[in-house]
Amino acid sequence: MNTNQKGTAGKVRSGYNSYLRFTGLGFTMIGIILVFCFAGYWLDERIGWDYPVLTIVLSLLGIAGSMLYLFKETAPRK
Amino acid sequence: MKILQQGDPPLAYEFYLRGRKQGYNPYVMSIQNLLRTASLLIGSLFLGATNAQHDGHDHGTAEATAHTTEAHATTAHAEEGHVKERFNAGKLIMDHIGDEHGWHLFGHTTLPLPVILYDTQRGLQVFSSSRFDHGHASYNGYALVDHEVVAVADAKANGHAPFTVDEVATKAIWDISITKNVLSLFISLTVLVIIFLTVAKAYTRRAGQAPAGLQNLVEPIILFVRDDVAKSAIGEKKYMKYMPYLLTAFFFIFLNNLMGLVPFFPGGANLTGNIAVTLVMALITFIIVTVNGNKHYWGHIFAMPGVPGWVLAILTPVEILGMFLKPFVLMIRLFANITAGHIIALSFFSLIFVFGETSTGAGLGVGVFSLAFTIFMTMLELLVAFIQAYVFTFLSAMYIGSAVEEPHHH
Repeated sequence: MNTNQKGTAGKVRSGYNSYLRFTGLGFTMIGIILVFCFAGYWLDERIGWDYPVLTIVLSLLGIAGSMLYLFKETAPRK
Repeated sequence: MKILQQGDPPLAYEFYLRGRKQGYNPYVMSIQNLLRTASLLIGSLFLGATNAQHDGHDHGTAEATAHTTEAHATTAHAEEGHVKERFNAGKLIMDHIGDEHGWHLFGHTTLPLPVILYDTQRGLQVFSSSRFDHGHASYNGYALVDHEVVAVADAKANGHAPFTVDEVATKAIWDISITKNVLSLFISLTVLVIIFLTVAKAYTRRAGQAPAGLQNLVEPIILFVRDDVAKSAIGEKKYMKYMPYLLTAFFFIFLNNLMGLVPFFPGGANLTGNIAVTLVMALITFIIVTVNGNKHYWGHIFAMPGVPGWVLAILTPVEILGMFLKPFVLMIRLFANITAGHIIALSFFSLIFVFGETSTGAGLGVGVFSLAFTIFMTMLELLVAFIQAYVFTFLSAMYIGSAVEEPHHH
């Protein structure tokens, strides 16, 4: 906390803004999962199998994808 | 919390650290979200209650049903007989946050607006919205049903509601009317142009002198957008190219948010809470990002460097989705925040009339609390008006920043 005033101010700025960076993260993650789910559902409808394999597989992939996206977005910037 | 001493970092830094420890949004935003959720909850509970009342009537005992039919019979005659209709809060709120042909001023006075239709079968049609008589009358084969212009079956007759809608002919209509939102847009654009021309003139006339008048109002905000938004998100080198868009977006959203809070004529339209408006704004951001994206940006989307192939199989579709979802979230956020603000204020006002229907005393009693809450919420909305303009501009700048970012040399 003994850093000089100017340096701290710069930190505050980037810190505050980095929160804003994450405000859309939740919705984007939900969006990714939903798009994957619906893609799976749509494909299943088209193929017409009895068991909705693709809905399950793609929704799980969507969750994995949204987690990857979360890691990527929150990773410290070089 | 320790007492601040001279030379300590500013208070904002404390909040930043605290937020960081807990992994939360900044202080202000969490309070704002909390209040908004609480109010929306109250609003939705109360809307649910009015719906439940209707359900109760519909599925009640035989006696109640008989009563309802009687009530329905009276409402059927209400057109002529002016029998008092039940107050419908949901309809009131939805009418207020939606778009309209004509602008309600006060009491029974409405400012008629031009209805401009391009009918692929009948050509261009221009007439005043007062011809529709608030949806009660048809004119020249057109009528208003649920605020939408539709074609009615008998094109020649100027009939009265209820109308027989001609579905096929309705599909041929392109409604490009000057609606409430369009007029509101024109007014706000005029205000913006006047403000900025005045300020620009002042800068040339008073070059090198201290700012005066409107300059004092606008200059700090412009500097804020430049330093805290453009420079911090895009970077010192490239920010200048995007300043015109960022400033326009900021002032457009900010002014329209503020005008939406003014309850009477030039204000009160829910422009930034209209999803078509926010869609176009998000689309502009998307186009700017896509057009200006450099090799580094596209490289990170299609083939993230340093990521094994099997992960890429998931990550690349996710990144492509993210490209579209980011502006989509931008659109939803502005729309939802501003619309929620309008709904909250209207819900509080509706409470007065809902209770007023049971007894005048209850209406007056609730009115006191409603007013107090509305004032409080409006104060909060003033803050939201600024925050949402800032957030939209900042996130736009950040997407642009990520698109024009140069690769880092290690």
